[in-house]
Amino acid sequence: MPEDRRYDDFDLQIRSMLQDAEEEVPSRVWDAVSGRIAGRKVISAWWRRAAAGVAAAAAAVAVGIFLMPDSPSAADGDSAPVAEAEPVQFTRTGPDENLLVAEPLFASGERKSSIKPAAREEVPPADPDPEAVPAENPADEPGGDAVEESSGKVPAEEYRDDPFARMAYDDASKRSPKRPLSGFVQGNVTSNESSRKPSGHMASSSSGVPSKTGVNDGTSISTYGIPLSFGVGAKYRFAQKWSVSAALSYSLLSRSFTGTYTEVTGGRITKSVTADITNNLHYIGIPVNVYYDILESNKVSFYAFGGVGVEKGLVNKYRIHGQPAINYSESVPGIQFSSALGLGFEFMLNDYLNLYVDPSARYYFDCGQPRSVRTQKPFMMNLEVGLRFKI
Amino acid sequence: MRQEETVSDDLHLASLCAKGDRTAQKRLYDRLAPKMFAVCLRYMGDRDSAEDILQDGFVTLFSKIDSYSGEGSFEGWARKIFVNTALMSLRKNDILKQSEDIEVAWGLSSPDASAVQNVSYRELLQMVAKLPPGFRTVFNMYVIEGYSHKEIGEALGISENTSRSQLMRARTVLQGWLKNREK
Repeated sequence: MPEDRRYDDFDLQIRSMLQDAEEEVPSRVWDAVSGRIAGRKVISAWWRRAAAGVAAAAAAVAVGIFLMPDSPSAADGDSAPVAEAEPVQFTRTGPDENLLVAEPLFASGERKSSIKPAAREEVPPADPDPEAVPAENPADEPGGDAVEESSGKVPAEEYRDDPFARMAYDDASKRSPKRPLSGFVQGNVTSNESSRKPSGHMASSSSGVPSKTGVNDGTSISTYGIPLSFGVGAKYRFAQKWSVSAALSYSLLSRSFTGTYTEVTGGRITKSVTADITNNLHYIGIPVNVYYDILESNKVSFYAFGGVGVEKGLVNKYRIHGQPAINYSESVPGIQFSSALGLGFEFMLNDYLNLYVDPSARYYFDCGQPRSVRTQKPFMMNLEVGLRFKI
Repeated sequence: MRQEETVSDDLHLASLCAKGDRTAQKRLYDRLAPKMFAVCLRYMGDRDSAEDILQDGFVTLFSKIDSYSGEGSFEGWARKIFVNTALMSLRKNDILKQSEDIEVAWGLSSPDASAVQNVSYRELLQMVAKLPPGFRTVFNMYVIEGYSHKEIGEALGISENTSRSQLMRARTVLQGWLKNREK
């Protein structure tokens, strides 16, 4: 059968365009090839970089915390502090028990050691007796200390010169009381290599003519925007060093590419437009994290956390920049699961408001979600910044 | 002289690669990978599969590189390895036997080569990738690689007439998409 020469020019045109075509190759391909020809399993380079980055950040934060000077302690002053803010109880003392001595109400024996007794107040006797010898200031009486000791109070002299005991009290008294429940608002940015340079990809079902209306991105290279998310949540401290949080968060994943929008009506293609396309994928989700406090001071805390996230896609929107422009939306089936590990630090701005920074590594599992930066680069470094307010 | 120098360079590079010189292997990979990836994309139709074939192809290339004798261009020799790797994968997964009944709605009678000039190579690559596997493979082998229908038939286990028929349908569909794009 003779060849059909009518298509020679057509074939030649196509061959000239595609024969020497080139496509950008992901770096992971060489990693895999070199590993296979060397006969070893390759540990992806980005794991090593990510681990090194997290370790360096943790080390920097730890050094910063230890080097950060504490606020000047009143214990450094000439006189020992008086626990004016502490609740006190009055006990009668003195030979006639007509003197009231203010003593702090201590929660533990250690605090007793840093407290000097409050100034004594003289209280006139309830029934003045002209014949009674007026009470003198027991402090002027010899053996005043013995009187103190006999009343059962903790002798302050034993601890007066112990600066560490004083500092422990100061630190504890200045630290704001821990409230178990706090709310927070957060913002998130995720950084990965695909958000900085285009990465090519192909449609998942690119064989043949589309059988329903939709967008096909073919072999187009996509440019991904930095994923953004924000949300609100609550964090609950259930043990001394342990907390758990849950939040409601919204995420936006965007990309742009050159693709084809096809309209299919009654099994026939009625419109096919190839143009630049902007794709926005909207998610709402619930991340749950568990926190462990590693270091804590009255200004900064440093902690580790891990957690999981569940997200549901709200809508997958495309804008086809043709003439005229076309807007097309699809629903998003299924659920997106993810997990995270990170280290964070929290700055106490005041008694009720803290600023936190949580760098973390997050992995998005393959859940059959629409194409996005997450399906292309499921392992991401994430930076969450937010405000926590005590409830 | 230049061609001889190129062949000589290729042979030298190939011999270094055969000895396991990692620098030479990386150099060869950097030189060939972008073009061979485009070849894999044309055959496989999706990026994930194309990456797998690219990887397999390079492993095969490095393992057989000492068999390159300098006859013909090194790139042509390498391209055959990648095409064969792609065909093996398509045959193995019975993808070539999958057929889709494309209803050609445009009824074109004569080919229009000028329509090709109005698209970028990436758009053209997209269109080729969208073809059913059978159409796509025959189209790639005949139009791009230059195989005859007899060679295609032997490679794919189909008759020459089937190869011709697949090619014709592929051309008609592509033409239709090109025409539709112009509207």
